[in-house]
Order: sequence, then structure tokens, then C-alpha cells
Amino acid sequence: MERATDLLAAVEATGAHAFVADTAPIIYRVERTARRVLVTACDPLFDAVATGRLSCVVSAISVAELFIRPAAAGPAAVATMETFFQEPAVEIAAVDYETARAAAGLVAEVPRLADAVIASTSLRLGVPIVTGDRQLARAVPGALLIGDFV
Amino acid sequence: MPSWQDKLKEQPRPRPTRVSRNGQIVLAARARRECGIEPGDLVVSVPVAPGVLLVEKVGARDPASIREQYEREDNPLRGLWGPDPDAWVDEIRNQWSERQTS
Repeated sequence: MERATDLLAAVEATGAHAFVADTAPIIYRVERTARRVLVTACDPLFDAVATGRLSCVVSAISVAELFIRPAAAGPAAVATMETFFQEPAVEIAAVDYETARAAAGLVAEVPRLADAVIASTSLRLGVPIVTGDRQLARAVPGALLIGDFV
Repeated sequence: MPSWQDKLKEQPRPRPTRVSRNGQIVLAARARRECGIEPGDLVVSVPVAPGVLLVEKVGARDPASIREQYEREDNPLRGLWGPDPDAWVDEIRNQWSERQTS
């Protein structure tokens, strides 16, 4: 089978109608000043979320990370960050018992706990994770590394 | 902005509409106009309390307009994570690891 050349095609090729977005790609989407190739690699994916073609699942761990800087910057930044989460096709995955339990089992391959929780969310839901983190992408079957699509 | 409860108290109650067998209801034209809900819009219904349902417009947005909103110079999130967001995420996650091993 031919390898997908863009992230949107790669997610859709998995047959999943959703993906787990790691924290960094969401930052690329909302703040726009990261390396342009990364921003433009992720845009078609988030455009598909905006139209409801795909769902974007965000771990509660990422939600916490994503609000750290806006919380320090003030209410306007927090409100703008919230607009991302108000998109109808953006869903939050709680870190429930099963997810946390599975994450603990992944720590051997994914040493950082936050990475392990996000990986566990992806594996439990059976949808690919989209990440900029090479180590995380290597450790999680089916993960899509943004760097492979720039 | 007044709460929906205050608005209900202020305004004369509209005429009731009956819920159909399959759960459909007609949104009163005046209410739709006031809320900016137009034919073709997507809405979600959110149970608020027994007998109270909130209908919220959520329609799929034009992705270009969303990107434009983030591209604006006055976007308060611009540059907030520094020039390399991946490095920022690494820093935050490494703090967890340091605590795990301490």
C-alpha cells in the first residue's frame, strides 16, 4: 500500500475517524509562529476537525499543559485557547482508571508519565496519535510523526 | 449579560410548541432571529434542568475563518510558547520525570 503523503490522508488511511492530538500540534494550530512547515503540515488535519470530517481527541493531560501559558498571560489568552476546545469535533479524553493503569504499563517504553498517558489514550481508543515527538512516535504503534509529513 | 433564567423572567413566555413523536420541535422564529440561528445551522441540545433544554448553535465553521482568527496579529496566543513549542512541551514533561525520580 502506498504511504500517505500528508497527515490527513495518513489518519484517514487508518480507517479511524478520529486522532489523538499531542500537545505540540495543537500549539502549532493556535499560536501560528512555530516552524511554518509544522504549522502547514497540521493545518489540513485541524481544518478537517473544524468541518466535522474528523474528531480530534485531546487527553486531559494535554489540556492542562495547553492552559499553563494562557493562564499566566491573562483572560484573553485563556478565552482564545478555549475557542479551540469549543469546536464541536474536539473531544476531551479523561485520564480514567483504565487509561492510567494502561499508562503505567507503558512507562518502560515511554518513560515520561505524561507521554505514557497520552499514548495509552491513543491505544485504548484505537485511534492514531499525531505527535511531533520522535521517541513517542517510535514507541506507540500506529503513531504519526509530524516530521515525516513536512 | 443576563442569565437565561433572568431572560425567561423578563420576557413574555412564547407560545408552546409540541414535541413530535420522534422528538422534533420547531424553534420559534423570533427566538431564532434573536439568537442568530439560521436554517442549515448545526445546533446541539444540552439538558440544563428537569424540563429545561438549552439549544446551542455549534455549526461547523469555515476552517479558513478559524485559521484567520489564529493568524491575526492580536491573537493573544501568538508566540506564547516561544519559538519552539516542542521544546516547551519537553521542558514541562521532563519536570514530571525529574519528580518521578526524586
